[in-house]
Amino acid sequence: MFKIYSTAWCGDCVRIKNFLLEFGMTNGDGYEEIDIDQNPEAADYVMEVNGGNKSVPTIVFEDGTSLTEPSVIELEDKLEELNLIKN
Amino acid sequence: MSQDIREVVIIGSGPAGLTAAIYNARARLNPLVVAGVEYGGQLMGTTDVENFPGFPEGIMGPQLMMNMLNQAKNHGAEILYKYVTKVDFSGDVKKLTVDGQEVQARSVILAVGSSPRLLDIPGEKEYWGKGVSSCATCDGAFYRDKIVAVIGGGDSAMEEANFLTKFASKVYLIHRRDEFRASKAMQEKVFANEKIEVLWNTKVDEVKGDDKLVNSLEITDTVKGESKNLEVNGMFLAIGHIPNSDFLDDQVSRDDRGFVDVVSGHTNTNIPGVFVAGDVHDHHYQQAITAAGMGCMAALDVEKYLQSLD
Repeated sequence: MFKIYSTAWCGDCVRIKNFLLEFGMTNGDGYEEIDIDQNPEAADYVMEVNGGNKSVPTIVFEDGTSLTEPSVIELEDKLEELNLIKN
Repeated sequence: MSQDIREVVIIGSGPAGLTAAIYNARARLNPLVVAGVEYGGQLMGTTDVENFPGFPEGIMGPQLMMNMLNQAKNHGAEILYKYVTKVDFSGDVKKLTVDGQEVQARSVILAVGSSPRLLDIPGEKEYWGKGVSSCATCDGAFYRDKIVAVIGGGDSAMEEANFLTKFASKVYLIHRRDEFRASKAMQEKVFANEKIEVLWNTKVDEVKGDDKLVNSLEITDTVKGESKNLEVNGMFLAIGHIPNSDFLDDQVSRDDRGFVDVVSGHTNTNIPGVFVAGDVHDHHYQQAITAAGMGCMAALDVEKYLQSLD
């Protein structure tokens, strides 16, 4: 399961999660969502992944790769590449 | 996406475009919404929306927009996460270039909205999101006990300045003229607010920072001709909006600022079959609810137009 680091106030996070609904993916079923405002350790991790920037959404996949603030098209391409969805 | 001629294509995915999509989908017109990649419109950059009817506790702007999108989809609207780059409205069948491919339609609703106007000065783009913002309601809470500047002289500048005093220790309201064009009531609120200092006849020349965050503005008093450095942690732009209508070129009548003209009825442009809704036409109200209302009007006008072709 891949991880989405987000905050409650982040519009791009809401858009991405709504997009994933199109593929039947929800928090706990397809991905795990972590609110970095509620989890300081996760916030530190996100800054580490993004070279000091607290950018959300940051999406970290099981193979260790990540996407920072991707467009839905970039995310769809990545999910296809990882065979998590079918074209 | 089928290669047939669509009944209606809606360009844009804010409250105007998505409301039009809901109506046209329920009318079984199988609308195609060319939503863009960063779809959902300007409310995607907001937090709590407390003035959209139907949500007594308020609703997060992005969630409201995704609700509208899902509602449109549930009724059968087809959503394309791409941009229209070119239009050809010369024939009865309208032609749109979408990501390099041609889409044809009997009718089109233009609902592409507008974007905040920028100052176009050094440092503005570099520090966008790092102290430079166009949305006090989105970012104001990050400036608790900080010093901020609001740029502008209209109602929205007054509103942003007042709003920011909830958080900031001091708000400079910077205006290039010696009077505001904002309503008297809004001005009175500003003048009565001890946290706000108005800098008249002042322009901002540069946004400065430490590479990470904004720490000052280079400003000039245009009457005295004197420049100085003003220490601030943030700059909020409230100098109006620019319609996202460049791609329309001369295919449809626009005013000198680029807003699409309504020439007859309530949403009809000068091209039969091409309708307009939301902020790309309306630079006066600019509200989610008025945009949604105009989206509904455009959708009903499309239905009537298509019936007239049969």
